[in-house]
Amino acid sequence: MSGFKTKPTINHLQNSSLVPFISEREEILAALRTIEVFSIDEVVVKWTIKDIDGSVRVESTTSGRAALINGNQELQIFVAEDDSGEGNSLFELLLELSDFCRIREAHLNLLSLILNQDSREIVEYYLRREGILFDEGYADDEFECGQ
Amino acid sequence: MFFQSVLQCTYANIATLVEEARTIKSSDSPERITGILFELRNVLKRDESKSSKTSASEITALRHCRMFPTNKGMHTEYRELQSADDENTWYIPDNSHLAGLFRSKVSLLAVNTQTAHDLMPLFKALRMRHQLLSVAATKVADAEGDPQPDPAYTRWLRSRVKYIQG
Repeated sequence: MSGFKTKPTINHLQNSSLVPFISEREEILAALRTIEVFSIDEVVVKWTIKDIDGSVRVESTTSGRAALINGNQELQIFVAEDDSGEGNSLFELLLELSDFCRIREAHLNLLSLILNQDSREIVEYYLRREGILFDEGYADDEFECGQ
Repeated sequence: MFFQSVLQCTYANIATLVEEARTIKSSDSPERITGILFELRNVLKRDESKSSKTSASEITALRHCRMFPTNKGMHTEYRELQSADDENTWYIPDNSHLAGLFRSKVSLLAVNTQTAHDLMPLFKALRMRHQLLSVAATKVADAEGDPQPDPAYTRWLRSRVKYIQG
């Protein structure tokens, strides 16, 4: 037993990614580059289950504070402007993004950090600590604070 | 015990389980039924990882089995047994939000979201992906009022989403 100790690995999930390496990954990443946000009074989401012939079998409507729709040209994010009533748009945005990006439950806390933390250094510290890949070149880009 | 601990013969074979699945009755306890479903999952998962794939005829036989307890509405007791072949008549509640929205409108497999996720190898092997609520249900957002592009919010979100794109 030598006195020399190797530095312990912080996390066994080294070199991981928030968007899992699934077949739809490239499609998801491409869509994320086209995000456009729209402000609206209220988000009404209509869910439908269709029959094989394409006709609507059942539908259910719900209201909310944020919705993500993957359109033909862009990934549209609808956000309700006024959060004074029920619900919270940022939290619903997190749910929508995690659902669309297939982010694993173990990584939801990091997505929450990314959306809530206004210090780029803190975000990057924890992403590195958890072994999440990201482009270090972002340091030259604008990091917008406070939404 | 010898077979279990040394030879690792912990699972029944698929033929035995198909026979057992055929005996499932709606009056059986939920524990018995989910027990069989989990055994099936284990065997199919094991076969998937080995070269001894489950045969097409075995998959067909399993798809015929009315072994999935479903219910509709707020009834906690399951009411009907369905098979994988009964497509478009029942769905798998793999998303709790969607399960809440559709519980009163369509028949759902009588398990909670976690169990639905745990059974995913079984659904995959039986080609039931389109019966997952998260796949079957599609959404359209309607905006109340006139949607206005929000460039500042877009810039903010793009600057954050970059960290998801690694």
